[in-house]
Amino acid sequence: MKALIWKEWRETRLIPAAITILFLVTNLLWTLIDIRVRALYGPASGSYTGNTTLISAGIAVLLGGVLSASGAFSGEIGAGSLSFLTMLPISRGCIWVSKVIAGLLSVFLSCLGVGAAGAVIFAGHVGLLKDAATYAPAAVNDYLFALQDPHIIIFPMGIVLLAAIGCFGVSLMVSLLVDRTLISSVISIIACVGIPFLVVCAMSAAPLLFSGSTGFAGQAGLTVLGLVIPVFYAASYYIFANGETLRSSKRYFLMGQALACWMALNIVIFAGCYALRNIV
Amino acid sequence: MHRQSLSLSHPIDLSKGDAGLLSPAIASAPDALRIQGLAKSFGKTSVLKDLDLDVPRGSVYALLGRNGAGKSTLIQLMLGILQPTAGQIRMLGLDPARDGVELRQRVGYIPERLPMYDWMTVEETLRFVSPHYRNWSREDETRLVTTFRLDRTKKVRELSRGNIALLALVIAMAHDPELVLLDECTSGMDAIARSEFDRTVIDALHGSNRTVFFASHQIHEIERLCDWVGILHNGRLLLQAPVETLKSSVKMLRVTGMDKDENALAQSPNVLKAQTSGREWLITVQDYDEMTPPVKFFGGVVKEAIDLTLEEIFVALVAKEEARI
Repeated sequence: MKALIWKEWRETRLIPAAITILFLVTNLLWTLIDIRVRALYGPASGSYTGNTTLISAGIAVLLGGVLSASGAFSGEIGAGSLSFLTMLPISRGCIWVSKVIAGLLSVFLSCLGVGAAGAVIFAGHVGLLKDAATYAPAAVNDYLFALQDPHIIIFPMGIVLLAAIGCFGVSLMVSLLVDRTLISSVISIIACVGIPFLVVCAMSAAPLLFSGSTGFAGQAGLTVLGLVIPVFYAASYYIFANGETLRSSKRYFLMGQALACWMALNIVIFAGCYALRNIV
Repeated sequence: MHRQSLSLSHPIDLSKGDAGLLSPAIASAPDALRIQGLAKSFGKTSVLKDLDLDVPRGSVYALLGRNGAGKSTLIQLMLGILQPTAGQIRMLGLDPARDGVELRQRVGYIPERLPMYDWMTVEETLRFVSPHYRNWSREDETRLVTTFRLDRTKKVRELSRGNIALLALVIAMAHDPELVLLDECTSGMDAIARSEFDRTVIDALHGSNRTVFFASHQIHEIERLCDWVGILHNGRLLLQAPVETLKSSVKMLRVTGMDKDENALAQSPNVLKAQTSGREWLITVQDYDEMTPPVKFFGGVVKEAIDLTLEEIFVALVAKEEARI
């Protein structure tokens, strides 16, 4: 297992660095433009704020989650090296676990790198503002306050990290279904945007379907939402552990099976919550 | 010695003690591989059909077949990489579908394509692979790497096709496997590299008493290595037999004074191929018995029985089968 994780890490180790550098460069450019704009047109005309850092950090970490997983299987399927792995005396479960461990490590390091880079940029931006005396104190105060109460940073970063872990799970499943990393990445990004949108739509529609029983629908919706991330991990494991040839259409059949199980689980959850709506 | 006739679609049944020229010890040993009623389909495409195959322990078995005959699929089924649609496989007493990991501990496998990680060096590849094998021997690894003159510091992407195959051979051999599977591993190599690789394989396997299973369509190269042969065609096993038994049973007869046309000869189940050259006929026959060689053949006089190479026998048998279909 150690050798497998080492191999996976060698293949994904550049992703955290790349994501951090991408975040750093784009934010650095933005802050420099912002400082120039403020100097020319006044403090109120600036567009770079603490929220900008946070949002762009979130996007970078989510992208890290997608990239860490989108090549996990598709790259090896495309190159054919997955057959080299499967001919070794290693169970498919072990291969899957090693990919998940190395990938999640990459996601976590992306989060750390982006977080550190974001803090430096934010502090630097505040420090470099020429009108710091008039504009920056509030931002500096926020920054210092955040340092005093780490929850202010930890909570949003925790949410972002959780979302990145979710994106990783979605991309991991997509990478099993596609033979090219680039296509896998594009589909993963679309899926990572589309799936939360669908879940939110389903949660919004549920009270309409069961008029007058919104409480149970909310409960069921939250349960389903909570299961979304584990479901993608479980589905990717199921497809990989039971799949056979690398380009076999059996993987789509297995995905269909996993999807059917998930739908059945959702129905059970909704039915259970509906049955218990008056008891709880 | 009991002789069994060789004919298409009636392979020799090894389980009934027809061990041909093998030593009694090998003949009585349990089979390294036993396949019964194996079938494999991909969707509507049937790749293997009702296949029975036995490989005696300690033998060198060559599975011959044209491209697309199902050889690689069969090997992947044997290793538990693919799951059969029907039938049973027992390899070294294990079920590959259930005990694939344990089986791969005891089997060395060199696939047709060798998709190793090209960013790894030879040393990194060996260090990556070795922890997965409980019987991995550093001494054997060092000996083989030295023998094959592999540069441990070179990246896999910098190695030639032949050297990649040799690296795969190190991986396949350094854990002291009971069974070695070679799946068309010389395809894509030039003639010199292929010859060197074959010589290396022979040296590496010489006296090891391992069971070796070749799958190949490059027949002339493996003829001198193997003692058993199976012919796979369109997903079916046409026959399996000891090589010497097969070679002594299929001969080319030089016949004169025969008054027959080619079509009439082709109808005969024992005639695999017939060609005329003036007044003389060259007829490839199966079921030839060296103990009672025929003097007459379809009214003609048999002047000579010519030995055929395994490749010529393979071509004749496959051609006959294709004509039959």
